[in-house]
Amino acid sequence: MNATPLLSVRRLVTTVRLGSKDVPAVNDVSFDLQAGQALGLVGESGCGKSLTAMSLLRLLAAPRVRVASGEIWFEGRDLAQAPEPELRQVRGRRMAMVFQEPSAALNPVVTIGDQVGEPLRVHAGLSKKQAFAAAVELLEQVGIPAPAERARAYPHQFSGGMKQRAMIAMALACRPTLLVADEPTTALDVTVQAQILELLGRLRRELGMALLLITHDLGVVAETCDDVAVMYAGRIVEAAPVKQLFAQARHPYTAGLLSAMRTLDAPSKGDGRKRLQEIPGTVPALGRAPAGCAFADRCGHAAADCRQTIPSFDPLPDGRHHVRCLHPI
Amino acid sequence: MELCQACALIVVQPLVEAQDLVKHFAQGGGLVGGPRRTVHAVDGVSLQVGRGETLALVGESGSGKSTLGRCLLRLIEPTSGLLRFEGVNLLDLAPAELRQARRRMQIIFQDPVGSLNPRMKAEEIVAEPLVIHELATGPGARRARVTELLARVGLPDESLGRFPHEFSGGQRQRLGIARALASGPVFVVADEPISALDVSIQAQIVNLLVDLQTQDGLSFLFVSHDLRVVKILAHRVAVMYLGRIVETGPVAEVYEHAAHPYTRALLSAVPSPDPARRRLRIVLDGDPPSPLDPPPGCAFHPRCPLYASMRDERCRTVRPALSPFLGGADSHPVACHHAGPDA
Repeated sequence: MNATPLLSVRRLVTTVRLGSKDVPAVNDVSFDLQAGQALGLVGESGCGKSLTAMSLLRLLAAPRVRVASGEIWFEGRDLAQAPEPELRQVRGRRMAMVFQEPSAALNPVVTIGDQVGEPLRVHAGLSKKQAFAAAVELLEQVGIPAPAERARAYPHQFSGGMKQRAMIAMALACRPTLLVADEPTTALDVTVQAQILELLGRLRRELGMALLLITHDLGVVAETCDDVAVMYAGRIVEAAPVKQLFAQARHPYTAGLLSAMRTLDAPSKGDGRKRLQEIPGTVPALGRAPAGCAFADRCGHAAADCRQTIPSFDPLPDGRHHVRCLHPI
Repeated sequence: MELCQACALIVVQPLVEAQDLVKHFAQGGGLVGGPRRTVHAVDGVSLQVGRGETLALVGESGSGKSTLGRCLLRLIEPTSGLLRFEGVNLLDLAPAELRQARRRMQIIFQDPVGSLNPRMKAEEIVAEPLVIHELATGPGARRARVTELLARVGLPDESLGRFPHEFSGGQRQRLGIARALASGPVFVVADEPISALDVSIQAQIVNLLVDLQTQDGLSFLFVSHDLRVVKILAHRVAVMYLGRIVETGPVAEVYEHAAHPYTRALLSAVPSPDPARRRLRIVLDGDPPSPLDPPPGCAFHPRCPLYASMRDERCRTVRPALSPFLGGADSHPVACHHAGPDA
């Protein structure tokens, strides 16, 4: 664990302009990702997990949304400070992204083969023909049957699962060291989700690529990741190796999410109907987080100090489990 | 829930009963052009829902589960088949009679944003069924009824004057539930009611639905692709694949002793929150096929691991009927030529 991490994010703050104010939507986020490892970034909608991913490559709607402070160290450079031409050298080449909606991310009037090969034309200077041939190989690698034929198809001729495979093929084109996958299976059916998760696992093993997986599903993280970070209202509230977090969650929010999932996962015996453990209330809207801990209003463990002090993100004695809570479980 | 003693499966006095229900949509032809083709959305489905019972309809997108749910309310006109609600043949009813029956059956939609009029206040939204069915007449009575409904779904009185956009996603779904309850239904189709909600909010809505059922003895048809939620919410489950039910039975039986290879794959594909228990996953090849061109024989055979190993000609040519498999105590109806606990 002492090797230099592939990706090291330090105290990242990304703000969103609301009216005349810049409100932090990603707030004081720090994490490390080692080469070849998989980190799951989990949270509910609006918690800032996708924005964290977009901030890494500065794919932001500037100036409304911008990285306000913090460091993003990746392969020896700080992407938070890097000028645009330097970012273009990283995007799609060293660090690639896969999005939730493959239909929205693919160009409907360009063939799959041309799109998958595009990064190679841009970054490796391949000719159109060479890139197309490489695309066919990539499509084969991600498990698309009859790839030479399918490469000539257009996105609308592909099913949702096939489109996501094509997106992954495109992301792999330049052999990136880090793949950022933002809810890659959320729009897919559960049997197709299983296929894509298998594929990501296989590619990671074969190519030694690191994976940053953004998801709302703790089950997906449990099955694919080595480490996990849980976000709530813009901040990471708990981070640990997957086994450790699932064995003993220390933040009340994580514990609540896990408890509901465990009830769902328990074997059904007889009339299996039972109540789920609820987390009362709702996620605070952007810029409306209460003073102190953002989770305090929904937390069964909250004390008076929780409503005044924003807890810091501290390591527990074992050094690998971090939690942002004044009164961890 | 009353179960038949002989087979422990058929509900004795079903509230809702469908027999051989079919819904085909025509596609293409006309102005749009292209060859005229038929979408086999619902392809011969029989089911019952008992009083106070929740039947879950699970399946992947395109399996026809939402269409079936709407057919049961005659929101979509079935192409053929039989449909009974409280003993009355729904398909025989004239429009005025159907409107009367609609008071007793309601629907909750997946997307609370798309299904609530953005220009109506919460009070008007919840009162609309009361207006249509001329219930709780008189402004005082109506407001009292609306307030009572809001309280039942856990919304405060201040909600009355608010517009949908002023509510969070979970609250909007509560509003949709209050509207569905307004006319005093006995049967509610809940079409993916929690799929659009955040994880921490889903549990709140699931618990609310269970509480409402306990209090009112409501019957639910719960349409969902989330097998985890179905397990704790439903009494019985029907698994759909390409417009047909391929396996059905009490939840515990189907989940613990799934007999259809598709059900087994579906259950094994659900990610487990326990990293120490990464299960043996059955990964199917390919995607769910299109209901435009359902494969001949068993619609599942092109993706079926059993067919891949056995190559039984029957799977390719003969459509398996939904019949009880004789597997002992955990026997329940399944549509597979090779169904069995060890299949």
